[in-house]
Amino acid sequence: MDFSDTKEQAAFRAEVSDWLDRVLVDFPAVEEQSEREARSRSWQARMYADGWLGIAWPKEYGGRGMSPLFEAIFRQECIRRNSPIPVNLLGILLVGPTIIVHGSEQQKKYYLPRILSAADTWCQGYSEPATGSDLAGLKTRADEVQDGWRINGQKVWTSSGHLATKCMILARTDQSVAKHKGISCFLADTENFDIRPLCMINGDADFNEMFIDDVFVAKDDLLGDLHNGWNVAMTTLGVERTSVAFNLQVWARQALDRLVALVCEKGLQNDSYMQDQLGGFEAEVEAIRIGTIRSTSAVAAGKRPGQEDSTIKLQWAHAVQDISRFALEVGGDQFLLAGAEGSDFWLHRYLRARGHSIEGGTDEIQKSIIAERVLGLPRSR
Amino acid sequence: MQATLTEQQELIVESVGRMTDDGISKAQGVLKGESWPSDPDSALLQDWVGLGVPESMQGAGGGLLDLALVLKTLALRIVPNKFSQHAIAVQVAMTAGLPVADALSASSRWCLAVAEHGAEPFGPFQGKSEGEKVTAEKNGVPHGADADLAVVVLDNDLVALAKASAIDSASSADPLNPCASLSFKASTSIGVATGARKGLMRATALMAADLCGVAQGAIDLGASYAKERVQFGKPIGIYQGVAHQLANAVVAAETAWSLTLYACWALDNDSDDAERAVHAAKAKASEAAVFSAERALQVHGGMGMTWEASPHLFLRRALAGSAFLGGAHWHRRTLGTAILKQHDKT
Repeated sequence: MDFSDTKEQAAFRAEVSDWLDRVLVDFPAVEEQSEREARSRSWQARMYADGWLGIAWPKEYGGRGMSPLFEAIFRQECIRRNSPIPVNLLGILLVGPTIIVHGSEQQKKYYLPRILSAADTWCQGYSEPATGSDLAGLKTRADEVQDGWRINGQKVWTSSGHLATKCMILARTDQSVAKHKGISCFLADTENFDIRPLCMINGDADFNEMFIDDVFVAKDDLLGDLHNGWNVAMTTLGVERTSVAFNLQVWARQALDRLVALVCEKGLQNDSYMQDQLGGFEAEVEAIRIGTIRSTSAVAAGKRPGQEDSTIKLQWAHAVQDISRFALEVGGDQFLLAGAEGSDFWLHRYLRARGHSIEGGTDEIQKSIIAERVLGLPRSR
Repeated sequence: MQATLTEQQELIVESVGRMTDDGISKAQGVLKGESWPSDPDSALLQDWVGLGVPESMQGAGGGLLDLALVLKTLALRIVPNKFSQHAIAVQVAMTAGLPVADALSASSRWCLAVAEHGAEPFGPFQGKSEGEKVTAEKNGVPHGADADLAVVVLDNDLVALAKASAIDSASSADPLNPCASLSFKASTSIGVATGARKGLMRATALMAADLCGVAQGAIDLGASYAKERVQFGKPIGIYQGVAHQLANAVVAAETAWSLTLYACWALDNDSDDAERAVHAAKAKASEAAVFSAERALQVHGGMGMTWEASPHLFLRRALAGSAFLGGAHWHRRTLGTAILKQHDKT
C-alpha cells in the first residue's frame, strides 16, 4: 500500500504540473453555459495538441499506452488547479473505453484518435422515456435493410447531445427474444437526429431529448456483435460508475474549498457547528480522492475494481449535494437572490447536484448493485 | 503510487482471520460471564506482538498499516482479545522512544491511559511527572484493571511507563472492553519521554482500523441474516428497504477504510497531512461502526433486540471504540478547525 509517487511518477507529475501552470492562465473561469462550452472546446484542443489525452489508451490508437495511474496523476493535478473539462468528455470517458473493449480493429483505428482530437464529439443514446433504470426494456428499434439498419425511436436525458456529432446508441434488433438478448449497439451520426435541448432546473440546457426517425446506419457501424448490445452497455455503465466520480470529484473539492472561504468571509471560523460540518465534509471529499486512487491501483495491478465503484459514485453524489446545500444554508437568503454575490455559483451548483444521485445509475440502482455484488443478497429484480 | 495491499499484507489478513472463526461465540461466552478465553491472545502475544515495532527496538518490523490490518481483522468477528489494546499502548510508548522490549516478550501486558475528567481527548492533561514520579488520574482505560503496566499520557507532550497505585474497575457498556480508572499518586515510573502527541496519532489510527473491522463485521452479520430470514415467502435481503440500509453501511465502512489506510500511510511517511488524515479516519470510522451496527440490529428485527443475539455486541463495541481517543464529533471539529486555519493563512 503506497500512496507516494515512484521516481517515474514523480517526474511525470512534475511535467504535468509545469504544463498546467503554463497553460491554465489562458483559461480563466467562466460561469455562463455557452462560455463554459467554448472554454471546454479550446481546452480539449490544447490538451490534444500537447499530448495529454488518452494517457492510458493503447499507442496504436493515438494514446500513450501508460498505466492508468499516470492518467490518475494527470487528473489529480488538474483537480488541484481547478482546470476546465474537455468538451468531448463523454467520448473520452465512456465511448472510447467501450470501443476499446468491443470495437473492430477498423473502428478502433478510425474512431479513437478522432475522440481525442474532438474531430467527433460524442453522446450516449441509452435512456428512453419509458426505460430509465430498466434500461433493457428499451423500445427504440433498428430494422435490418440493405447494407445496414434503419433506426426509429426516442432517447432522453442525453448529456451533451446538442454538441455531439456522433451517438453511441442502443436499439432493439430482435423483438422475439428476452429483453436483454435482442439489443444491439450502433455508432451513429447525429446529423439526422432531431435533438432538442431540455432546460434543467438550474437553467442550463446540457441534456437533451433525441427523436430518431428512420435514420440509416451502415453495416460497419455496429459495435460488438449483433444482439450483443447488452454486454456493450454493461461495459459502458461499469466505466461510467467509476469515471464520472473520478473526473468530476473536482466538483466536490471545488465546492468544499469555496464553502471554507464562505465560512471565513462570514466570520464563522470559531463556530463549532461550522467546524464540525466542514470537518465531516473534508473527510468525505478526502475519502473520494483516496478511493479513486485505490480503485485505479487495483486496475493497474490487473485486478477488477469491485465494490469501490458504486461506493465512490454514491460518496461523490452525496458530498457535492451536501456541501452545496450547506453553503446555501450558510449564505442565507442572500444566495436566493439572482445576481447577488455568490448566489449564481451556489444555487446553480446545488440545483445541478440534485442530478448526481440520478445520472449514471440512480442511488437506488447503485445500492442494489452493492447489495447483490458485494453482500451477495438475492436480486430484487 | 500503488494503493493495493501487498501479498504480505494479504497474508496477514488471512492468518489472523483463521484465529477468529469462532470469535462471535467467544464474545457471547464473555457476555454470559464465562472466563476470558486464552485464545487467540496467547498466540497473538507470542507471535504477532512485535509487528509494527522496528527491529532496532527488538520488534519484528513492518509498518503501522500491517498492525492496523491485524486489529481490523480481529474486530471483524469481535473476538475477545487484550492484544489490540496492548499493541496500541506499545505503539505510544515506542513512538516516544521508551523501551518496549518487555512488552514484546509476552512477559508484560500494557494498557494505554489517556482520558481524564474534564480534559479534551488529546489534552492538555493534568497528569504530570516530577522527575520519575508520576501523578495522574486516568479513566476509561481499556483492559486497565489487569494490565501489568500503563502507558500514561501526561502534560507537556510527556509519556510515562508506570504501574498504577490504585485501580478501580468500572462496569463497562462493552463487555469485550472492560475499562478501569487508574490512579497514579507519585508512582515511580520506569521511564518518561516526550512524544505523546505523535504516539496518540498512531494509537488513534489503529482504533480507526479496529472500528472499520467492527463496521464490516456488523455488515456481514446483517447480510447473512438477511439471506436466511424469510418473510412474505422470500429472504428479506431481496427487499430494498432491507438491502439498501446495508448498502448504506457499506458506503460508510468503505469511506472509513479508505481514510484509515491513508492515515496509516501518512503517519509512517511523515506526510504533512498526517494529523488531518488521522482525524478524518477516526471520525468516519466511529460513525461507520455505530451506523453499521445499528443497521445490523434493525435488519435482525425483534431478534436484534434480544440479549442473546449478536448485533448488540457489535453495537457496544462500536460505542466503546468511538468514545476512546476522541469521538466522531471531536475529530470532525478538530479537522474542520484545521482546514479553516489553513484557509485563513493563505
